Order: sequence, then structure tokens, then C-alpha cells
Amino acid sequence: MKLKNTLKCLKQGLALSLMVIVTALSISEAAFAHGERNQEPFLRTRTLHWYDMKYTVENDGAVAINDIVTITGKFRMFERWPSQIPEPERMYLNVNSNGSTFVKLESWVNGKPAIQSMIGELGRDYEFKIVLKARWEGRWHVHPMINVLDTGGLAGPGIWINVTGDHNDFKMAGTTLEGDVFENLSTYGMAQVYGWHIFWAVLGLFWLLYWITKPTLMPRWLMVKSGEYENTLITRTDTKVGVVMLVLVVGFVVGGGLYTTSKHPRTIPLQAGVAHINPLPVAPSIKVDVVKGNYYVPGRTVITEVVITNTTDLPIQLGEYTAANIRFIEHSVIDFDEVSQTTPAELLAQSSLKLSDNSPLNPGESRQVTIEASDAAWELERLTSLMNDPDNTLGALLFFYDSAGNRYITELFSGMVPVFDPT
Amino acid sequence: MALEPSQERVLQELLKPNSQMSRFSRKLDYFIIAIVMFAVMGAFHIHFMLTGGDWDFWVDWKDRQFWVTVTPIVLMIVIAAFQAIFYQHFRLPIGATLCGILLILGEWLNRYFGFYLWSHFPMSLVWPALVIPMCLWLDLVLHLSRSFILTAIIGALGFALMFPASNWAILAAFRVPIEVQGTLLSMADYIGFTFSRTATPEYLRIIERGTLRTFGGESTIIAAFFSGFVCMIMYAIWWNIGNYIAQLGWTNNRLKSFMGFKKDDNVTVAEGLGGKL
Repeated sequence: MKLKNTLKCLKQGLALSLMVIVTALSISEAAFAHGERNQEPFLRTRTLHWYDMKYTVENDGAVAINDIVTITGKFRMFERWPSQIPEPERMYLNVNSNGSTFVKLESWVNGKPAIQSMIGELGRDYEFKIVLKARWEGRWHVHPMINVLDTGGLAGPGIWINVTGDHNDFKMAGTTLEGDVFENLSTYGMAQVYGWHIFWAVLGLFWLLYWITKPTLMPRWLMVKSGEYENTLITRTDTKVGVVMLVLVVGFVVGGGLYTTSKHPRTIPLQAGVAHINPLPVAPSIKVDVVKGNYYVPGRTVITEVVITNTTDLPIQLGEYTAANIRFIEHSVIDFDEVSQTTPAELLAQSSLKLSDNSPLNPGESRQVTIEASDAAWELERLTSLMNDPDNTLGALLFFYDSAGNRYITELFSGMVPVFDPT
Repeated sequence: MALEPSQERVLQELLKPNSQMSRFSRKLDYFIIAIVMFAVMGAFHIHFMLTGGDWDFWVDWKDRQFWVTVTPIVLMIVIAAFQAIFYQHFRLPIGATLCGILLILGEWLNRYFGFYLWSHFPMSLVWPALVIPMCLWLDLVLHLSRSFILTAIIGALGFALMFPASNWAILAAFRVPIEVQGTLLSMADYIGFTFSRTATPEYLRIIERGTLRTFGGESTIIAAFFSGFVCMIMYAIWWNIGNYIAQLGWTNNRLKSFMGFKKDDNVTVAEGLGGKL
């Protein structure tokens, strides 16, 4: 009876577990992106700001295996870098995709090769270009990314790319400085790798089988324990086989090495240098002093009160506010439709950036204005979790335009006080 | 050490060809060998991934200094311990080779299913290093010398020296120079650059640093000899640890009826096959 009850409980438990698993699987979304929303807001708004991003394929567009995709853009190393993380003494331009679904053909920063890591300078801008080639079929979220030593990856705005075809058709040919032509970098040198691994595995297996095909554990253990069977445990034949094996092992290691050296007489060590790349020249900017910053929780709006001083020779207007890759556009200054064609919808606020007064600001004039950046993206991108951060400050870039169409970029750095009930 | 009378009876039965006990013993061999294979493969693979991981995972980490130095030292930890167990208790000079073959098998499974199929890294980026020749060398030195001391001195030194020597046959092609974007790279660097890894940027590589190259500019040889000296010490330490672990405790023999005893025979701890050495 007791056993019957136990079995019944077991069955019910299994059925319940199965229901929980099925329910969890059916209501959860598959995660195909890279968890960029999980990075703390102070990290995302005060480290790198990406702008002027261009992809040669549309968001959610399709390319075939071996097609080329180019990403270009600029990034600003925010001057008020968070003190909680190390400064960018070493950083590396990378591409963030799901494994090697795309390969990097070229990587440039300010027109210089960015194959190796470089040193970053705070408060300065860098222009980059990454040339990719599609390698593996699927739907992939692809970002440019800067890896910063001891900080981790800081992803730029990503787009979805659908790759069609078969990864077995991927090709990447080239020629070494020795003049050897290879057809596919994915399989370069693998004939030797497979060949030598198989050879040594066969020799090793022979040695193992030579011993374990004889009675192995119990009799040998008792014979060793008795101390009277040494010549039975290891016979003269065993010794002879051992000598032959030793000659083979040493012979093939030495012979293989000499043959390989004659085949590849010119080799170099791994290259571990640092790329020395200067930032872009310092551009003139507009003076912006922050008075206060609030986040209105019910309205999902960041309101920053600032004093803007026009330090240029022409009247200026604020055209864009960008933080954590989300763009807030002032529709009366910038053509929103044009921007929406090149920016993924989830990274573009649909309503216009609002200013208490965005009439042209004359040269030398100062004006106190409030800037309202309002969009659900603050919540969707988890930027409002700023309130839980150890450093409750927000960084952003402001893009001003003068009457001649010149652009001026200024960093905005502000504390962020939440307003839970605006009434 | 003399055997207990009951153990002597068992041994004589085992030595009779085709006896019931020898047949049972053989079945037990296969059963235990299968378990040991999976246990060694899993344990050794995890140990090596945690201690020598990135140097073995990626072709652009296989440098002249750290890869050459670190790999034999961390391999020696498990290999010396298993060699001691197999040789001291069974007089089988196969401990190192068994570890090497199972590690390589585990690595190829991991590289193919994990790195290639799951993460789409090409095999040219993630092939594992050769370790079987150095393991064979260590077993053969022990087998022919029958000496723990000589194996620690000659075997462990050769173990480390043989690592870069045997791997050169496959590595050289990846050290051939190529020009990319006007920059000189080795083919390994080029593969590492091309097939990018999101969380393993170029600067993370612990390669070609330090002063091991200062003696005549021969980094690989200096690193291999340094590794060899450390391997000698590691071998001595881990041989003894392996030996000690093999003698820990015993368990009641529940299979005594299969070994010539009657169910009611009172088999003492000293007589039992699992008794302390």
C-alpha cells in the first residue's frame, strides 16, 4: 500500500514537473541577441557613444553566404568615464555576433589597421570601418563592439541580418608570403592536424591495447602485492616492444619536426604588438552646463535643465540627443524619415525631442532650456534601472547644428533624480 | 608483501587459463575499464580546460612561451598521479598514454560539437594540441627504467621538451607569415582576427610576454627547458599524491561469493581484496 502511494506521488510529481517545463518554454521568448540591455545604464550611457552608424544592409535584410557587409561609424570615448571601471588603457574593435557567423575581412580605426588592440583616449572621437563576410546561415544580431581591458565588451547599435545559403559553401582564399595559396581559411592547415592526430592516436592505442588485452586488474594487483611475479608482470617481450616504441616515438617526433622545418623555412612568432592610432582632431563644441536632471517615471521622460552657450560664429539649434544608442531626434531640425530608414526602430524614439525653446541661439548668447527626451525605450532598454546603480548619473551626446549645416557634438553629464508622482 | 591465504587462493584460480574466476575477472576488467575511461576523460578534460584552457583552445594563443611552459606543467598533475596508480598497483605502464588519448578524445568531441557546431568557430582556429607523443614517452621511460626517480628526471624533462617538438609538425603552417591590411601577421594571428570571438579579444591573449627570450633569443627552447624542470618537481609531487590516494580506505566485499568464498565465510578486512596495502 505504502509502495503504491509512493508510486502515485512520484507520477503526480513527474506530471507536474512536465507541466511546469512545458509552460515555461511556451511563454518564454528565445534570446538571440547579446544581452546588451543587461549592462548597467551608467555603463551604457557613460562609456562609448556611437553615432553616424551605417550598414550596407538594412535592418532585418538578407544576404547570402560569402556576401560582404560593411559597418561604418564613429564613437566617442565619454570624458566622464565611470570611476567604477578601469580607464581604457587597452581596447579592441570587434564585432559582436553569434560566434563566427560573420568573419572580419578588414578592420580600420581612423584609417589605420585595427587588427591589434589600441589605446583609447577619453573625451575623443574615433571613426571606424569593419568589413564582414557572411559565413553561417541564420538570423543574427550583429553589432560593432569595443572590448575594453578589465571592463568587457561595450556593444554599439546592432541590426538583424538574415543569412541564406549553406555554410559549407563559405570560401575565403588567400596567399601567404611564402607564396602558398589556400582556398579556405576555415580549413587551413587541417590536413596536417588531422593526419598527425590520427597517427599518434593509432600508436597510443596500440600501446594501450598491448597491455589491456592481457588479464589486467585483479590478477596483476595480486601479483604486484605478492612481490613474486615481477618477471611475469613485465616480460622480456614487453621490454623489447617498449624499446621499439621508444625508437618510433623519438624518431617520428624528430623526423616530423625536421621535415616540417624544411617545408616551412620562413616562420614568425605570434604578433603581440599594440596599434598606435591617434583619435580624430578635437572639434569645436557648444558649452552646456547642467542645472538639474529628472526622470519622470509615469511619462518615461528624461528632463534635463541646461544652460546652453553658443561658442560658434553662427546661430545654432539642438538636433539630436543620444544616450545608450537610443536616438531622440528634434523633428523640426533633422529629417526624421531619413533617420528612420537607417536606424533600427527599437533604437529610435518616435516622438520628437522637445525643448522649452529651440529657436536659433545666436553666437555668444546663453539660454536656459529644458530638454525632454520621452520614449518607452527608457523602460524597454532597461535604462531606468539607473536608480539601482551605484552611480546614479546619466551621460548623453547632444548634436547641435548651425545655420550652415555644421554639426557640433557636446557631452551631457547629469545626475538623475526620479519623479514618481509628478502631481 | 606476502598475500593472505585467501588472496593466494584467488590468485592461483585467476592464473588458471579459462577458469571460472579468470573469466569473471576479465569481465570485471572490461566493466571497470569502461568506467575508468569516462571518469578519466571527464576529470582530465575539465582540469585541462580550467588550467591550460585558452592556450589550447585557440590557435593564436599557441605561443613560444606560455603555451610551451604552461601546458606540460598542468598536464603533469593528472598524468603523474594516474601513472603512479597504474604502475604501483598493477605494473601497467599505460597511465600517461591512457590519460593522453582520453584527453584528446574529449577535446575533439568538445571542439567539434561545442566550438564548431554550436559556436561556429572553424576547426583551423580551435584544434587541440598533440599530447599523445609526450605521454607515450613518459610511459616508455617508466616501463624501461622501472624507476620512479629516473622517470622524474629523464621522463618529465623529455615530456616537456617533446611538447613543442611534436606539435611543430602541425603548428609550423600556422606560423607562416601573411600580409593583411599592410600588417605582417602569422597565419594563426590572421585566423584569430578573421574568426572573431566576442568575449576573447586580442588583448586578452597571454602570449609573448616576459623575459624567457633573453637567453640567446631562443624562446621556445628556454621555455621548454624551464617547463621541464618544473615538470620534474610536479611529477615527484603528483606521483606521491596519486600513490596516497590509491590507498585510501576499503569497502566491504559484496562479491565474495563470486570469488570462491561461501556466503557465510567470515572474510576479514586484511583478507578482503579491498584491504589496505
